[in-house]
Amino acid sequence: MTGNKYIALSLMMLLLLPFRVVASASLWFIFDERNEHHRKYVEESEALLRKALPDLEVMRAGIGNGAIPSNVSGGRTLLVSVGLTAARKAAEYNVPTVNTLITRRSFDSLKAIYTSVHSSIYLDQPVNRQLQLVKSALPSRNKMTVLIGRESQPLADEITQHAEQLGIELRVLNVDGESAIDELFGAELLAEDTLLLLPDPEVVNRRTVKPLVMGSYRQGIPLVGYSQALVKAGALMAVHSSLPALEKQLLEVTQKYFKTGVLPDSGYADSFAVSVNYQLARALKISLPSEASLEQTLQEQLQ
Amino acid sequence: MSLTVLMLSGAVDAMDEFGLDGEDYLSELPVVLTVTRLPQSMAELPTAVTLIDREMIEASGAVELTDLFRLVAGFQVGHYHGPDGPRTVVTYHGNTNQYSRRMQVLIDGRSVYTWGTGGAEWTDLPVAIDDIERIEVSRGPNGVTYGSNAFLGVINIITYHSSAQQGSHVRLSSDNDQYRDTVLRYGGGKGDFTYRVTGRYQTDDGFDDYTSPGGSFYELNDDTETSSLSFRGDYRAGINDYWTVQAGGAAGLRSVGASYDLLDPVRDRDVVTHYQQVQWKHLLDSESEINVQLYHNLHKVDDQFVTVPLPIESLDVDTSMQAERYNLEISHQFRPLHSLRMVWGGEVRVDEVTAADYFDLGETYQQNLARAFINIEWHPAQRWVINLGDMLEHSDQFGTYHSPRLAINRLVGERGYLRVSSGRAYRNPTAIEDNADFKVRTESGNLVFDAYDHADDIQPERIDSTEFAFGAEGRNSSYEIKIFREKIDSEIDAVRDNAWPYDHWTMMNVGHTINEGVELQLKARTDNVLTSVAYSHVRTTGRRLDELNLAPTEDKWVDVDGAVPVHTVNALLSLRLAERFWASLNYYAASTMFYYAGDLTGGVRIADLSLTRGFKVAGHDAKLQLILKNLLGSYYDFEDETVSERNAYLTLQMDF
Repeated sequence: MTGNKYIALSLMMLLLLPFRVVASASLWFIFDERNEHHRKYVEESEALLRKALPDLEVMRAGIGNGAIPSNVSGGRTLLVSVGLTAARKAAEYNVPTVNTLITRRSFDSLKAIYTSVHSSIYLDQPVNRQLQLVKSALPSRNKMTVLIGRESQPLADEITQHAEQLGIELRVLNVDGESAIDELFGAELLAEDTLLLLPDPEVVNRRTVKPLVMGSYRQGIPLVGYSQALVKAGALMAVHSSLPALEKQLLEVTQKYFKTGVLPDSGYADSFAVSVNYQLARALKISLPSEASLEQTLQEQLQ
Repeated sequence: MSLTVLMLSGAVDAMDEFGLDGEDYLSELPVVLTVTRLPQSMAELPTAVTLIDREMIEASGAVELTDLFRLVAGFQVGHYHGPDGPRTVVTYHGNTNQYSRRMQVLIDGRSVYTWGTGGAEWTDLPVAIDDIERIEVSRGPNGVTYGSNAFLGVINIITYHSSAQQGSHVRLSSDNDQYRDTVLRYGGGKGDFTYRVTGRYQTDDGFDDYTSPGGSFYELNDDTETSSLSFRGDYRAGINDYWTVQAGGAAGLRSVGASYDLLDPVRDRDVVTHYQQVQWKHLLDSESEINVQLYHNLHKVDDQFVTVPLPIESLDVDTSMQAERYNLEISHQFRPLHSLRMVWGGEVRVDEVTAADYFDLGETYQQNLARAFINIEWHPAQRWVINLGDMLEHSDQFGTYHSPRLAINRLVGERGYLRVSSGRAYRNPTAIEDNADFKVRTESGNLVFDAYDHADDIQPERIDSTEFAFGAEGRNSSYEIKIFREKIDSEIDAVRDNAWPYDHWTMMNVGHTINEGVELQLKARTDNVLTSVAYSHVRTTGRRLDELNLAPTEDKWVDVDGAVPVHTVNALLSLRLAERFWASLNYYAASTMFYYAGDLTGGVRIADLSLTRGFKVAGHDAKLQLILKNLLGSYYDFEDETVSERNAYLTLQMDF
């Protein structure tokens, strides 16, 4: 290639470059507007995105109202689904998508219907963080029972492995329906030190929360959950994702995507928060340090 | 419901659906909060406490809140009527007039002790007995925790968390005379917010007119009519953040006077009171929390009248008074060492009292208070508990002083304990005691007589108390025997000054009292029996100035021993006779005593029987209660003319 050709090619590229920048990048949130947590997540994420990427066009679409133009195309468009229903909706478009506020199990179950590139920031935390939390906060308790339902069945091996590594004597208890939970406490089958819950609608749902919380409390067994909501409802503690951290992670993924055109692999949230129900801790006569100090300890141990 | 929604809003659903609340997690042994602000079991407490729980409230057959205090060792309840209204007097170890000024009274941590006249205005408090969960009465000075006025003790009335009182509640009570009491309550909420609103309307014709054995006739105009409304909202903002907002008020009429008394004609005193309170509790970890409380109280009495011409001009008498308080309090509780728990904090308060004739021409006086306190609970060894605390209080009028306390507890066996405790507390003079200048003038403003004034060098009262106690506490029974000595110095009261040509009193420090004695508080319960026994034996010595005289006549001093009953006893026995059918017998007796504005009581013996039947109406809980009051006959507990007769009360209540 001669020098002139180089110059001509460079000029052509220079001419092309502005067009590529000018072509507007857009991001669509798909979410259930009636869900106040999803709405909050969208509002706060949008504010972050607008501040960091002023040229990015950020738009919202409710699930089911078909507000996303049918001609949205990849490359300069990114869909962000919020929640499980929105993730299903997003699968209808052949557009790169980031699924947010969705658990790993839910995302795995949707994989089959995706035709384009989908990446997910899992809402739940990896089970090893839950185990590590128990190990850090309740070092004298080495026995644990984990309740597993159909949805969380695939996690059984993983959690058993992690427990072994941490020297925790783990019993995996398969729960089949609500009656199983009543029996659990009724027969006082739980001689273990700690009861661990994983996100599984068969195990933890509107009807089982009370027997789980009250049953474990009456037997003096600390209940370790996976969400702030469960702690609020009466679990002793949980390691969970926090909305601000998830929003920040979405911003980073978005920035990277519009810079490189590549979505990262699906994965757990980088950061986590620890919530403790101190009122319950007092009642169970368990002394626990502050949430911040538990988070720091956990961070150090996971590194 | 999707899992995501459950994960993010499950708490709201769970709280809503299951009513799970922090209160459910209180441990089984009763925990007392009032004494040090640290939750402590009976065995760890630095002073004696009587806990009146809901079960005792129900069993006692109490019609009015003040009836409950007879369950407490060493307590007396008296009924007064006079130109300043019908009043119920609640006192510990007697030694008072119609204003029982030596006890702090709190409702959910808000002080209702008024700086105007001192003590609590029991008749005007907008709190329904239906809303009370328990009452913690600490018997002994507690200035270390609550500052001045927590002198002989502290009464902390604790109402239910609003989540525990959801739905509607109605109660109708009536006696066989003119007493009527209606309470309506509704509790609701959404998600993490619950509330209750309680309304009450009560009328009482008070005591009957009285003719003394000597033939003197007393016309007792002491009717009361009170409407009150209170609101409590509880919001759990996060897992470890609790907000409580309370507001309420009461308005009513208090009849006073007599048709034959030219200076105290028949009339109604208008009473208005209201309050607003916000509390925030933030749990930092399982051992530490921050509490912030802000509240405002107002209590106002309107009572102005013009007499008939005496003999030329009418007197314009105005005993109206308004007392207002703003209070901010912050405390931090934590465990710096494994063996040490502590709570420290501060409080700022502004009290303002405006009174017409009491301060001559309607002056307003203000008292600014600042407090810093610390209480430490130290376990130096496994079976030892040391409670050490101090309160530093500064007021504009009286400077800075300390109220310290030291208590050493030794735990014995599984449930027993021994305690030695010593502490000091102060009582600040009330606005009236510190500033009285009661002048009675004619309509045109001419001074007719000067009824009250105050000494310029008046000092706060001081109490030094030492107690030795032993007891035991289990899940269903507890007892404590306390042997005590308390010395009260610089007592304040009105002294007749005979240097004046007519009746004139001066507010001043009048003397000292020493109380020595022993008290027993016992409680036991099974599924079918509840029993509570309280006994107090007090030996009192001391002298106080009664009259100031012009030389050469010497001032008159009197002994105070008759002002404290030697024996006070209460026994409550409640039996479940059948499913949802309870019978309770409540007996109270106090040996003779006199009140400074009353008479020698000649001893009081009261027995009340209550029969309570629970039943269902269309699936809703209902209750019918019959209370037969004063089975042993009539008595008076403050002055000859306020005679309580045999009476029957019927109460019907329903929750739906």
